[in-house]
Amino acid sequence: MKEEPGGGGARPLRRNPTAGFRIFEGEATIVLPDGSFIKVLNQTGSRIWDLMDGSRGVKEIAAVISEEYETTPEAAEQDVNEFAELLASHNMLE
Amino acid sequence: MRQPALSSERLIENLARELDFHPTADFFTRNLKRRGTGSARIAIAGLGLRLEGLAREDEIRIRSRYGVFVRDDESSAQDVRVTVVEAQVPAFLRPRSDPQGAPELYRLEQFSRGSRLFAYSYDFAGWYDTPSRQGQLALTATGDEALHRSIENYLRSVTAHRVIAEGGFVLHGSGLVRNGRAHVFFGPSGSGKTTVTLLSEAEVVLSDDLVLIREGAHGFEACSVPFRGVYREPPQSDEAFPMAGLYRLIQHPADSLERLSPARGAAELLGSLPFVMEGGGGSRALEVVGRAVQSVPVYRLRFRKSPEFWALLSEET
Repeated sequence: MKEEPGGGGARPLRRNPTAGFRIFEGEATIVLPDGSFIKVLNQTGSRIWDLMDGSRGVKEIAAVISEEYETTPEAAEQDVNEFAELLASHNMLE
Repeated sequence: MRQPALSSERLIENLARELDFHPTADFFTRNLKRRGTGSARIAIAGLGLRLEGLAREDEIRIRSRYGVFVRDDESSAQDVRVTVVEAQVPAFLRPRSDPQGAPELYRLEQFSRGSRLFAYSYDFAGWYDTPSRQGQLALTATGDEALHRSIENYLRSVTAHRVIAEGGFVLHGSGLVRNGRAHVFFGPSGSGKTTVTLLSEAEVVLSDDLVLIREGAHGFEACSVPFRGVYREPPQSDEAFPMAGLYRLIQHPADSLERLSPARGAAELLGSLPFVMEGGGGSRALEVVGRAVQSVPVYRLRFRKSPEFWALLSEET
């Protein structure tokens, strides 16, 4: 069975260490080493990306986001999960 | 009636016409003979590269084609030395067609082994080693057009990697100098780079295909490279010009200019960097491009096939 990127919310999420990223004025540009994936993240996406440092799972990241932005923990968790799935599908997560 | 069987030599010959030959690093350990004793030094944005082992006719053609970029008198310890040899094989890649029968535009393959970058296409295979500043270029063809195409595409790849290591980048774009400042228009094939070049009045045309951007003493500047697109005039100058702006071209029924955030500008530029994104270069490219977008404005320019878009640029810059 395929494991979900968030592992049910507890497994720590870590950015692919070979991916390049740079945050400009709150927006992140991220790129895979081979250039096959180049994306710009909005401020919320950039904050989530920044929090994916291997020390937090989906629930913990969602908790930070719901504190910093006007959203509920449940909505934040759903957004973080969807975002993690998108990143994982492009090999942007370890 | 059944066809007569082909001899084994004929079969091998026919197969050889169809198949690509992908050289490995070991290919270059063969005893490949130099094509001659000629040489020429080309300098691009101050980065020297000496081609050695040229046949006499190769040297004449190169000196004629690269004009103001041939600088034999300015040798430097930082020069790259490339030995030109006979490939001793009929071809490397074979031109392909798409399912509709249209021939491919061009194909170049690259791979790395340690610090050595390998590049090959139809009529050449070569390598370039960054730390030792050495390279080798094996040519299969002696015809004028094939020779120029082979040498030029090898030099494009080497130049792009060399410039990014030095903190600049080579952009798939056209460059025009107006009022002493460089406007660089970029985007994929068909976005309008050559159209902009042909429509516009300019003091200097840097290129309609590739422009070199680097950080100078007074900020980012744009320079010509001696490589040509459809616009057949050779570059008129190898001088560097301060940057006015970078414009991602989109052909559209109405002209408009939209300034991009640095993050979006960087992403657009990364999508127009030839050669260097493969083989793990994405992070380095982002680092270099990231510096440029913090000092040079990046726009999305929607334009009709008319020079009237310049009015928008004049207002903005």
